[in-house]
Amino acid sequence: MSSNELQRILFIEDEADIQAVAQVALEAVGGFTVKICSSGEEALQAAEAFAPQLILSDVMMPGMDGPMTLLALRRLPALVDIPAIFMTAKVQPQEVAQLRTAGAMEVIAKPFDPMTLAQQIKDIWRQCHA
Amino acid sequence: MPDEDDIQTRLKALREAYAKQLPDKLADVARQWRTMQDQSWNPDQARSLHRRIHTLAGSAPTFGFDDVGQRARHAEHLLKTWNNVQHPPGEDEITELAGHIHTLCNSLDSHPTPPPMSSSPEAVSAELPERRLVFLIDNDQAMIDRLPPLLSHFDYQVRTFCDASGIDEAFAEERPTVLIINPELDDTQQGGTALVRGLKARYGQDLPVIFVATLNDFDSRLQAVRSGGDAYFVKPVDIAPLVDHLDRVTQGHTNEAYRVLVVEDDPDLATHYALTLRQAGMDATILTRLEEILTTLAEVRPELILMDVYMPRCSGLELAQLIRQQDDWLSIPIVFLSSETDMEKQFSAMRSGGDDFLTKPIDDRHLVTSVSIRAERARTLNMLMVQDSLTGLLKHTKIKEKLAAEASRASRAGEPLVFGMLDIDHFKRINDRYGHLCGDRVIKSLARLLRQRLRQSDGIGRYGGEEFAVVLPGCNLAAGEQVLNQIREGFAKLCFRHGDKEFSVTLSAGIASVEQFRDAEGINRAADDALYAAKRSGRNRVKLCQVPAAKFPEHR
Repeated sequence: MSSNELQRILFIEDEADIQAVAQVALEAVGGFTVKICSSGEEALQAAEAFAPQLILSDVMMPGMDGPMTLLALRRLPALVDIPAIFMTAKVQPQEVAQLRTAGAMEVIAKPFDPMTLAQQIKDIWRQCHA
Repeated sequence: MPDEDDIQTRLKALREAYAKQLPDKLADVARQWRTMQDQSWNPDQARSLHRRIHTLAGSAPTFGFDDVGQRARHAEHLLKTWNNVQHPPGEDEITELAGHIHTLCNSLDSHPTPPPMSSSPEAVSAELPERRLVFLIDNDQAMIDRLPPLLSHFDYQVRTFCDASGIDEAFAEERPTVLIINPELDDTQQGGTALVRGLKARYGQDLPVIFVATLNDFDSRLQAVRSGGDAYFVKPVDIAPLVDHLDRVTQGHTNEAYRVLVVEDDPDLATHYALTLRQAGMDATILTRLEEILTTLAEVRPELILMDVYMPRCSGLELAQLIRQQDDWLSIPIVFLSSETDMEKQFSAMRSGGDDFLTKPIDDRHLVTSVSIRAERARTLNMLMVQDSLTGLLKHTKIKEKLAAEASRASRAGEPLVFGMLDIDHFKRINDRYGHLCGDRVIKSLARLLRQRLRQSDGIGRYGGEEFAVVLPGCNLAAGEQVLNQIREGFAKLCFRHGDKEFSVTLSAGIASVEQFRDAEGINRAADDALYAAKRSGRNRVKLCQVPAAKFPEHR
């Protein structure tokens, strides 16, 4: 049970402002351990050592975008079946469908509320482990 | 359990940091757009601009700049279409994007600070709407002493001058929103009016001017009118009508554009209509993909829909019915556009929910007039339906509806929400002593204070007589208490005048939260009980409902 509890999140986001808010939302409010990466490339380098239980990624980033990053991360043996959540500003039904096809179990809309983001993630986590 | 205060402090610091950077971010967008316009179309540049604007759409609302986010979203939508098709956009499309980018980059001019966005009490108190700047020129020391503190309660910041010296330097630093001036400056009867003529000549005729005068004769008033004064008050000045006037003058600048949704499958035609409406100062959004109608309605919240009758996927008549089947959109005016001249068919369009029928091709001026008249009427009717006539706040039934909707949304989402009831203390005495007109002024002042201190997303209603109700989504009991206490203190500081008597008034309030009661009736009753507890224990205070959150049996 406790091994199934969400603790370690790999967070990929290129914008510093959002990184900072998400850090408060995830670490201080949610009590998670978070590794923040500013790009897909950085995430690829850090992922195996950090061994996340969950990947939380922005969609639109310079260089590798979210879906591309996820695809590359999933090639790493340790990350083959690590669940992923995308965060994006434009959540339209067909885009959500595309992102799910790209391997996300859920899509969270930006802007997010820093006070409830952690709970939202916990709910998704619980649903997918129910 | 994390330390709530610490989190709020950190979030507040982040918000402030973001607010500081935002002007630069917008300037970057403007700069990149200018560079792009100087060169031929470059898809890489377009993609990078798209990314930049997309980022704004996501981050700005996170920090409370909803308006910036919304505008970024509109611009992003266009850019995305272009980046998908890979060919250089046409001239009309560029003009359209230029319009969107312009409104985006100027969004801070009309809304300099975001509405406070979180449940944090500091945020609510610290991020009040931007103080509007007033210049007061008067050689009467009593005015210089008295007016600035009074106006500061209504979020006006006053710079005082006892004569014309230094006024040009002050204008160079920052142009005031309004000028208040004594026409009898320099002890000559026309010192002030002459100064106003000069200032208007130098800084624009549109500078609003309010005269505060000792003389009340016809000639003095005529001089004031001739110099371009907007209002003329005779001393001693009653603060309430003065603030009413200031509000009217300053609101004139932020008069919201009519939001129109253009539903038309021909992109060229859609762009043409949208541009025509925008040139007339309306906020027009284009929808060409019909299946997005419901999300677009929710996002754009149009006040009028302009719709083509013949579209490939479904007819405008069907789409109108589909829209009308949503309770929220039951009363939105829909104006059909079509080349149809057959009266029978036009009537059939009206029957299915259209309000008017315009025949293509339509003259631009005719289009603008038809649309703006209907949008204006819709807005007025909507206001009459939901607003209390004295205060402009929500009517009793509407604020109860707002509470019911927000409470069920909040308990579904597990978010906090506070409901507060406010009542003016000893209101009957004010009416008895000073008359009903004076009582009405007190009520209006409280209404104005509530509007200024609370957020756009909060519901504010006149519950009845001297009783008010507020719905504060995203706010917990402690934050709600702090907000209402600030309002209570602000209200007690207001000074009312009746004849030569000055007096002040207090209020009592009771609040309850959705964490204590899951249903609107429970919260309503509890807030009412708390209000009476506040009254019984001596008035001029805010009382919380004492039911513990977790133990309450109705909990979920």
